[in-house]
Amino acid sequence: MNLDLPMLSPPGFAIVAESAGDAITLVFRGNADMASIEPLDEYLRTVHEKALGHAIKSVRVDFKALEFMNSSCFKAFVEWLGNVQDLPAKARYMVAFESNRDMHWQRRSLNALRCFAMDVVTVD
Amino acid sequence: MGSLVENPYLEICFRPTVATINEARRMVAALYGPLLGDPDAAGRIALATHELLENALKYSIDGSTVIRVELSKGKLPTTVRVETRNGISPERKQGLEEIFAEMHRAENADDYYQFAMKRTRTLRHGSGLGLARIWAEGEMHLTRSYASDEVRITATAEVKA
Repeated sequence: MNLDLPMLSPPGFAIVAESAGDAITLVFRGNADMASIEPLDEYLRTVHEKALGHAIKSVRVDFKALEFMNSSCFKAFVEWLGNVQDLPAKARYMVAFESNRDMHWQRRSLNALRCFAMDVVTVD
Repeated sequence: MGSLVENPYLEICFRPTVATINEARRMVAALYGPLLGDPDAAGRIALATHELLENALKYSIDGSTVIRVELSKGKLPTTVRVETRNGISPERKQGLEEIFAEMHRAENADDYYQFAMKRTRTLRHGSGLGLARIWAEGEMHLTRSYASDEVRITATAEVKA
């Protein structure tokens, strides 16, 4: 399935998307900082629309190469996950984060996101 | 830095930009990781550095700020202090006071963070998450003080060193 999710690559930050079957994979790389806020926010909204439109069951979010994410970009994830949670149970999809143990902020940030949206978030 | 002095500190006075904030965060992590022997603590300090500098970039009256990161080893417990000083507008001062009042009313850092995360979905501008994140994820105690039109925001954590 081709969901036509383009690669996002503002300076110092990139997201590469892949889709197969009823799953999407988003691979993050670099720094999600003040320069990334608007493109990231728009990108996650597009992912949500595509996921709903194609009856996606899961989105895997690979943070292993994400060096840092600031609080404004963190907000974009809160909004996305909140929108998934707001869906009727049958329409929801799961969001599975893959973290890098060497980037210690990830464990703390992803744990906070899991607490925020426990029904839809898993963290590996 | 290193073992030559009792309270090693790093202080930078500059006009932060998106790029230099990233470099400052990396530098703090690179210096304090070996100094503390604790990459997780260094990561918490780096997070506070980044968030406080982004606040300074957004709100400093003249765009400049001073950041100081100091390790205090003289008496137990050993602490690390991350502090920014910059000019502040009356409007920002009021907003900052409201945030600190909310944090004082909160049961604990995690509860406040979850509250701030729910609220951020309703905010059109800003996230309202930066200080909450330092408190909850960074496990750092936050204080503020004012002198004339300058604000000093301090994040302090106990560390093993």
